[in-house]
Amino acid sequence: MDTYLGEFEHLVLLAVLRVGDDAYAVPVRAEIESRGGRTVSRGALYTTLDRLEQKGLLRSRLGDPLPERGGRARRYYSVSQRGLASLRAAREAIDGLSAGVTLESKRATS
Amino acid sequence: MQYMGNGGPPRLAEWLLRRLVGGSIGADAVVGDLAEEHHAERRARGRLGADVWYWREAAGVAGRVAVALHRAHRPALSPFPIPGDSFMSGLWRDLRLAARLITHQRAFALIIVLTLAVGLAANATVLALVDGLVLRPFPLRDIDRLVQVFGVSPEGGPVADRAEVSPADFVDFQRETRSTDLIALQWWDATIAGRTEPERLQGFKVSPAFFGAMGVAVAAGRGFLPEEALPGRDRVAVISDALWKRRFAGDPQLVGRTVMLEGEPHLIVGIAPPKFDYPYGSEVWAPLAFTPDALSRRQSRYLSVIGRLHDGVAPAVVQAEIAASAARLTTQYPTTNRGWTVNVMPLAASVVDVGAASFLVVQQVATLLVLLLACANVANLLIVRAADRSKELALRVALGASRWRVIRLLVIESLALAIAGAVSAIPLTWAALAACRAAMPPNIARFIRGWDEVDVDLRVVGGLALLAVASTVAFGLLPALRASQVSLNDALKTGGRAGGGGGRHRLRHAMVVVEVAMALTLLIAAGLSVRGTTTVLFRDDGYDPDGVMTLRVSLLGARYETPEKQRAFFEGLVDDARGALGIEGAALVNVAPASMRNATSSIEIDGHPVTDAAERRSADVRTVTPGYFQALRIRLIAGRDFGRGDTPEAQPVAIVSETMARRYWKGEDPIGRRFRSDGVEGPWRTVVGISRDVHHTWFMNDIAPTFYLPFAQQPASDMVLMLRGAGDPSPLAAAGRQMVLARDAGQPVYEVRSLRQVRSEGAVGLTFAATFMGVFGLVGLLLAGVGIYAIMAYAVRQRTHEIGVRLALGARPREVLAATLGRGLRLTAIGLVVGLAGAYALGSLMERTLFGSIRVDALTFVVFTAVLAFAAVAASIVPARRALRVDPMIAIRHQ
Repeated sequence: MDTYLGEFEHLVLLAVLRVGDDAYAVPVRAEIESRGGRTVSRGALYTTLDRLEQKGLLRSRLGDPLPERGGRARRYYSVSQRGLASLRAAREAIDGLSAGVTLESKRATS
Repeated sequence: MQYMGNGGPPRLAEWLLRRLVGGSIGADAVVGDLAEEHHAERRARGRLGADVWYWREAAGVAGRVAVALHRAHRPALSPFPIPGDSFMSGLWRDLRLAARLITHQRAFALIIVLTLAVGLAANATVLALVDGLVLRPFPLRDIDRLVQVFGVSPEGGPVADRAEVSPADFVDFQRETRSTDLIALQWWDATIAGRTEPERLQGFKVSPAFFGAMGVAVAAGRGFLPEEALPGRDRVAVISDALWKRRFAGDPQLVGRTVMLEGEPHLIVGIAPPKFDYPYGSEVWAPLAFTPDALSRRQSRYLSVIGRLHDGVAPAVVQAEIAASAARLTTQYPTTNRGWTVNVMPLAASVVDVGAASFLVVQQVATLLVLLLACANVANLLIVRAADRSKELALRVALGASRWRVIRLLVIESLALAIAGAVSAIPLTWAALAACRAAMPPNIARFIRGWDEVDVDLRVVGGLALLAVASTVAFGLLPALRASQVSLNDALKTGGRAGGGGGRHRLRHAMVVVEVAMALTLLIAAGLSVRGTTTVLFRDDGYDPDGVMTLRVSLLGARYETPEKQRAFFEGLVDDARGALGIEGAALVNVAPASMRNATSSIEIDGHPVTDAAERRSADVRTVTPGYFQALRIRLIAGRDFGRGDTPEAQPVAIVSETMARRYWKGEDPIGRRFRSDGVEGPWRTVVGISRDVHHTWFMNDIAPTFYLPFAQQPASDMVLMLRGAGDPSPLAAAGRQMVLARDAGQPVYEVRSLRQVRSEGAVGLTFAATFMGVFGLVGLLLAGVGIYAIMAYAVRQRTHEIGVRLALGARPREVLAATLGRGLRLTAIGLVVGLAGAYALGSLMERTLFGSIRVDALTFVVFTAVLAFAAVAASIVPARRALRVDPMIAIRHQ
């Protein structure tokens, strides 16, 4: 049984996939903001990344310490097999539900 | 690369973020991410913008994470005591109940938290200043083992016990003192030349043991050798780390090379450790070598003397030992040393400005008033709310809560509010300090020990926490004690209308009186401060400071050692300036008006010998070129100006100020009379003119007698060029610099400032004080207004029923309004009377501490009393009128 994905969780997983190997919080947030067309608060992103990791949908590793970060390491994320399965399931659900549905708004007649 | 230094995010914010995020979601990566983004923001917005950004984002992240953690485990809360529960678990429940009550009454909580934040931030700001400037003024190792030795002048005055020491006296002290090793320092601001354009450096000549005594090791090369304190061997220098990096790009081969300092080749023997810039932001040090000539003149006192105490030696021992030497010198050299004693002080205390401590006391009193006012306001609001909650509290008591339990709940609510206020106060404090730093000109900040160290640090946060707890007691305890004295019967019966009866009214009334009194004290203090400062900045000081640019030129010793060469350069410079386009007046003077420097000389009046042996005659000396009085628009009252004819060969002449004329030639016409300065070797000078007085510095109430000498007869190497233009003087800066460089490309020009600027910089401390007080006064007015409004609104609401009945029975609205207003105004009047007394006390304190720049004047008292009375009426009239609009039927039915 795949874990149910919240909307924001869904976006975060996709953004981590898009950014690829360099996916730590800063570019992931930038990706959601530029592609997803919405602003993302840092706090929400951190708690969501943490939650997704606890659910086993994301894995993380620490990089090397960097001077511009005051000698701290970046935490890089990658989507786990389980995360991929969740994404796939979500896409299938959306595709299945979207099939044959017209999303153009009906002309309002009053 | 060292990153964690100044370039990083605000350390406090980072520390708080780490604490708040904790181990929950990998604080290290989060803090690192924000540091990385701060780094990028810095490039885009600059330091300040990036820091503000950081505070905001860090708060956002911390808040979000805290909410997430809170949500993760939140059990149900019971607002009622559970029998048999333990002290700690009860406490915890109360805390969370308090947090929930606060989040439920947001507007109410917001007002309280903001009020407290303002009061706490004001205090934390002053606390940070006191901590940085008075308690720990500089980062020297073992500073408590260092003492400074001052001469004590028999002439008296505010700084008589902070006099400097002559080289000859110093050498004697040094030889005869066993308890400490003494070192001496002499001002030596030097010009460095070569490679790039010449630059003026802050520097000091120091005894060879200087670096050891200061407890620092030279980072590269060596310090000075004892034999380098001999004339001829002293052409060596140690430079600061900052200068090494700035001017020599951190050249590792610099030690052992020769650079031109003051036109003389100096061998660089060492580089000081990073951040070491004692004293006064020094960038270069050279050995202090006494010439036989310097050692022969005991009356020239210009050395600062510092000692490092040997282990186990108390400062008093050093004081006794040096005082014995000084006493011997007074008998051995009575002409120069009679009456002179010594004063040994801990270095940390001695560097604090004479006026600073008392000035900060005034600030501290004012800020405490702001905090008390904030507390009084909050207490008011809590009392009002407690009345609304009397039913709830009575129910708690009825269900078995002890009185102690109710008090605890209320105090914990107050504490939670205070903590929220303290947390909000941190960024406010930080912003206030940033504003202070931005407002202080660097050339003044250099002289304020510890200025760079002032910051929001853990000590300040600790102080804030203490203040927050103290204010909780101040504003929370009284209402809690009151509110806990409820009886269920009364509370339910009165329907929450009258609350705890008369006692609560009395308390509220007392609060109005206290608030009005404190606000008036603050307002008047602020008014006096602002008025005093504007007077100082804009009064007529005897000259016209507008439109004048000043540029200081110190000729390099080697190239201009003779008076003839100095004259040729400076007189040529003035001629060039006179001929230049857009310059209406040009002249040179040794000391610009309102500057921090001064030149004073003892004088002897021909035909008026000193009769009283204790009397000392002295006057300020100004050496000027012809045209000085016109350029500065100083009026000549009698006689003539200097002219081309006043050459070294002609009769020595002088112009004296009104005060000098009055003081030394009582009832006579000084023109044609003679006096001399510089002791018996000086020539007799004939007075040829009398000028209007010039008020040199704001903090001297008395105008010093002053005499002017023609530059041609008294040439000097260090002069200030004054240029007057038609309008804005700023373009004259570049023009003046160009004129100097055209005559000598290796000659630095510095302290380029308009005369207006010199004047405001001289009074910057006063401006600071006035700004502080002004802000506090406004905050006080606002807080008092809000407080009075809240109390009146509450009183009216409580009496809606009564007012309705009165109106229904035919009372005229005006009578009802008068009755409602009357009580508020009576209380206000009592508050004003108390406040006037407080204001008089604080005003007198300020009058004493701020060198008389502030006067207690009746007008300020009247004006601000009226302002506050008006504000109080306005704050009362709004709720009172609202009461009248009530429909009597609704008012009566309402209950």
